Amino acid sequence: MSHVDDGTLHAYLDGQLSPVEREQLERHLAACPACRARLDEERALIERADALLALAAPPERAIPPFHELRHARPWMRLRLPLAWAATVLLAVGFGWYLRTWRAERRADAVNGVVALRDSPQSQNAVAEPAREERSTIALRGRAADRAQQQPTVPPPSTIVDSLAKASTEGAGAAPAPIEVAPSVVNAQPRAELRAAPPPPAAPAASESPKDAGAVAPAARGGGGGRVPVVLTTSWPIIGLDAARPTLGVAPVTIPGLPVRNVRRSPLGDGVVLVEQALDSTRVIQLFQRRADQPALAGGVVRTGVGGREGRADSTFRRMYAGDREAKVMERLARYVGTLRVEIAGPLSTDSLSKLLELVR
Amino acid sequence: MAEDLAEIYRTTFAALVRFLYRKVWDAERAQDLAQEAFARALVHKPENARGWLFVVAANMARDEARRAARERRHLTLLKGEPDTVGGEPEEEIDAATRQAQVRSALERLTPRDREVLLLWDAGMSYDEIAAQSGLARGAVGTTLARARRRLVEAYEEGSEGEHVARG
Repeated sequence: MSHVDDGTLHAYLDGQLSPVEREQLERHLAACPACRARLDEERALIERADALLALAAPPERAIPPFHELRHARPWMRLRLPLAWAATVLLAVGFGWYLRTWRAERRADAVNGVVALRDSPQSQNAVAEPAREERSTIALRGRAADRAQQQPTVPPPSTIVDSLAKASTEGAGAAPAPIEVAPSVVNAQPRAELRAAPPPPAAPAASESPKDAGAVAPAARGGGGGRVPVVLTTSWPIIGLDAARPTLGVAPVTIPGLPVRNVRRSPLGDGVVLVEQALDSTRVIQLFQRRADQPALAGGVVRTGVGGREGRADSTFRRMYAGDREAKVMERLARYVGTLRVEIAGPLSTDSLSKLLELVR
Repeated sequence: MAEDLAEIYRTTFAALVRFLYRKVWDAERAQDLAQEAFARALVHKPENARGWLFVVAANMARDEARRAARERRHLTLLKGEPDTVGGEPEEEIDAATRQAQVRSALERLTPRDREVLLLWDAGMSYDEIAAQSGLARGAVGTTLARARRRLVEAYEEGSEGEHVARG
């Protein structure tokens, strides 16, 4: 056997020769000091090259769980650009947006009119009742204040009954007198969402007890008056990364569902909304905030249900408008790590509950 | 298939990130691209997933690398620039500088030599490298030998250049 070429030596040192080749080579090396010397040189070269490559290795990072791949993909691809976009957008636009929004709210308070009142979405606008004293929602938790008032319109549906029950549950009062504006009837399933007990810490509740529905936004707006509808569709869209400083950790999601949008509450209450598509028409909303921050859930609840999907909303309404189980619309909440997460979507309580269990 | 891929993910993900990192020189981006490659594999269910992953990753990285090449070279120059007046001891050349030198040394290899070297370093066998690069199996060792030698030489030239510049 003639002298061995470099490639064979490297293949030998790399352990990539077949047994037959290896045996041949070793036989030759045993008889050839020159090739043995070259073997040592090549071994040193390989070590040197490996050491250099090791210098150019990426920092150690945790390997993300395999199951995250399926839904993480679109985000992973866009993460960096989105983070930049979100940063710029937030810096430039957010202050302006908030100012505008507040100005609108003040105007609304003056006019006693909600901007979105006449929009097609007004039926979904659960906060709308808050602008009217007749509001079913305004009765929530304040039934006693209003017990003297007589309804001018009897509850038109069984929903109202269950709603009334729910709305007085916390106060332990007799069934509240309920006055329902006809235009609000369709919105009742959504209104029901707001029938959660009022957040005790909400400042507005004490400031203006008459506006029981006006919780966080009133406190924020300084107007203290009527509550505007802040549909979640108007919440600024941010990136997952941009949500991190708000929450202290990455927002949680339901694995396996594509993330449509990540939004931040314009109220500055530290609430981040992750919207995930269940299918082409239905969106699950995950409202999350740090569990150690004061609850401003009232604002969230109200604003949380202005579904962005027209179709989803109509499905929503169709499914539940005549449903005596109006309670299925109640939002479910859970603590996930350091976050308090509430789920909302056009599904039954059971389904939402199961989905909520999947959140991580 | 999905289970196979999960296993490949477990064993190969870090190597794929390393492979990509030597191409895009951004750890986060490398990880994103690696995940993207696996996500595509979930969809495409390729026969030879491991090899397929590296091909896809290499393709994705190529665009990235081309785009970033100019900035990177500039950055490398800046980093390689001695910023001291006095004779700083060699040991104090920080890791970033050495990495930049390895980077520029790698860039001085031919594309094929570099690819084979990186594939080997990512844990591929000669057979896999041959399939991936189109080389004959017997040529892989030769290519690797040349790539390693050139890498070391290029790195040492770069270092010497710096020593000269440092005076």
